[in-house]
Amino acid sequence: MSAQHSHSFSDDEQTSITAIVAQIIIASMEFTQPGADDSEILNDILTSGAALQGRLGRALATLVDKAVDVGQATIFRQSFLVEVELLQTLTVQCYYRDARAIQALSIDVRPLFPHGYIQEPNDFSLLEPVHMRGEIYRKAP
Amino acid sequence: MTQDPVDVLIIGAGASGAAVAWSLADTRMRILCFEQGGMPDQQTFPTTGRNWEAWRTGDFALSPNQRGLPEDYPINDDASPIKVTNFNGVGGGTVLYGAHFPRLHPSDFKVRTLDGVEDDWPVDYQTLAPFFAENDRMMCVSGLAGDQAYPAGKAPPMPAAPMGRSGRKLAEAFNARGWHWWPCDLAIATEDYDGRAKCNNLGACISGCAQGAKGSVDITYWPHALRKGVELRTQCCVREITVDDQGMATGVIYYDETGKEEFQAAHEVVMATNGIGTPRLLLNSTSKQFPNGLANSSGLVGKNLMFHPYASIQGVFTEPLDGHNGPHKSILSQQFYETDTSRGFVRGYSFEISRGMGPVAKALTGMKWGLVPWRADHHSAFCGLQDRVTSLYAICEDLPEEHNRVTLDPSLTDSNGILAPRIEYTLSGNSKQILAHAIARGIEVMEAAGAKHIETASPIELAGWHLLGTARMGTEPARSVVSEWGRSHDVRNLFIVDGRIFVTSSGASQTSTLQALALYIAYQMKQRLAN
Repeated sequence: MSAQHSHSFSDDEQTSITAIVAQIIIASMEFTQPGADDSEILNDILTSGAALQGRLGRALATLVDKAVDVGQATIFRQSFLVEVELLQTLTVQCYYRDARAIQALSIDVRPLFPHGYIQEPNDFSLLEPVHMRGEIYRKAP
Repeated sequence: MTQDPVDVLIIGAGASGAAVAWSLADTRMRILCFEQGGMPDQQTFPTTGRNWEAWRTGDFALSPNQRGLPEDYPINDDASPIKVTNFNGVGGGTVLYGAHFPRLHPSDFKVRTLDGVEDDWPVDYQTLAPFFAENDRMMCVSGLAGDQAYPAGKAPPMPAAPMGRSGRKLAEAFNARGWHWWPCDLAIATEDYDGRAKCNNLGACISGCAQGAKGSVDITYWPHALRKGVELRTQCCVREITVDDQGMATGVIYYDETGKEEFQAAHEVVMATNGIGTPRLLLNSTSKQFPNGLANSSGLVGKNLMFHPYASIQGVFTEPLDGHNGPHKSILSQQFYETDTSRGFVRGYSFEISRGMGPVAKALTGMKWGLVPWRADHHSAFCGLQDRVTSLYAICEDLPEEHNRVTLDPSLTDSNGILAPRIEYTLSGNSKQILAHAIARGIEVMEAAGAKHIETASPIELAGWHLLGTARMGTEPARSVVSEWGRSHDVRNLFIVDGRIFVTSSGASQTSTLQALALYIAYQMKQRLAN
């Protein structure tokens, strides 16, 4: 699957990224969740991560023409710690803003503002033991 | 070009600069404030977008080095285990703070008398008490009166914010241990007030409050100060403070919003530029009279840098708690705040309880902890964390040491070519012992609360919120930079008003005290100078 968007990754790099992000978050029927290699999420990853191309290129090149299975992904993670952290962060940021992924978690698909959230009222009866212990500060001369 | 002289020039429009501007505006003096950043626009804050978690890592990142905006000066903090966080703009650090608003304790002002360490402050809790109360009203502090960790009389003007499920869970655990806890004082409006809407539990307080419920000074002090006639000029970056042959400040050289160099004359100069920015500006202000930096005859400018080292103790629970919704902080414990030498250290710390995280932070944290794997089990593991993580943060007292310091980096500069600061900082043995104690006690609390998994970190790297001590106050010119009312010992018309003048750091967040101190200094200036 090749994403058609304005980004700087080569076709080989796109293929490598697709393979790796599919290892990071896999689609799940049980949880009704897409995978990170879903076309919309992948487009977001490739577009949002365009500025990282220079930092990821060397690592991604090692995956060209390789079948990225669990073992290959493990080697990649162990070999490129910094690059993997960048790619993992990018993937998670893009994945958990996808409306389908959020909905599957029963989280409202909306910004926090303006509606906010309801919190339960306080129960200050919990403070009774604290009151009973009395002052705990030191008096200064 | 020389601008007409002003009576008072304030450098920095953050927590203390705003308070001083508002207070001094009671006089007939012409007051001008320079701020190197702009006025925040709440409509652009991350919580207005669904992409808020990624957004907060860009222009709203806590680290100026990460943000890299034109108004941000870089900071070389390679030689420090704690990295600086700040915000450069009207409101300063209050734009991105958690609005936790505890006061220092009476004992914090008497550390030499009570504990035999460092120096007593030249002011005390009782002196600041009316200014604490005035500031609570201006910042719209919510909380609950009667906390027995403080003297009577502390009564937040607004009802306490919701503790939430996580606050209750940890409160029950503190009760089980027989330890103090109390709902946090927060500079968060829990009722509509002063044209601002009450908190509606957006969460993500440290990304800026789009609701306007959080008391950042761009929406608390500044509207009032501007109405009283204070002039605020944004995007004005001060390069140096100038002096005359008598060693009196004459004004500042600055770069305006177009990058043009200008001079502003002033009769009094007030610095409110934080614990890194203040020594940077003073050390950049060299002259024949002050070859080692302005106001630095003691040699202490930039020295005695104190952070609040933080430790985190995070628990994963089986039942849902709050997630990220609601004010960042819920309850605090000051059980271990006061010195007890049987613990093996002097001074102490507070526990602050924070709510959970958004989905992105949760997934990444879970991956870091090894609880959220790649591939097949990602989703089930993520669901095991959803709304089920809550955190204890220990904010520890850091005693001053001269080798912890801010100097000028020889080559790093900001966008105007002004030399940038460099930090050298190590944790003291005492601070390490406090952190270790906090982690051990924090684990006890988390276990009492029923956490099924606990993760700890110490010190937290990106937690250099509180930048203290680099221009300390005192009565002896050889041992301090400014007097008991913030006036430079060396330059009689130069004042420093914020946390940089703290003598010691305490084990509590600083904003309430540094603003009360700023109001006290403004009051003194009005009494001594304005009349």
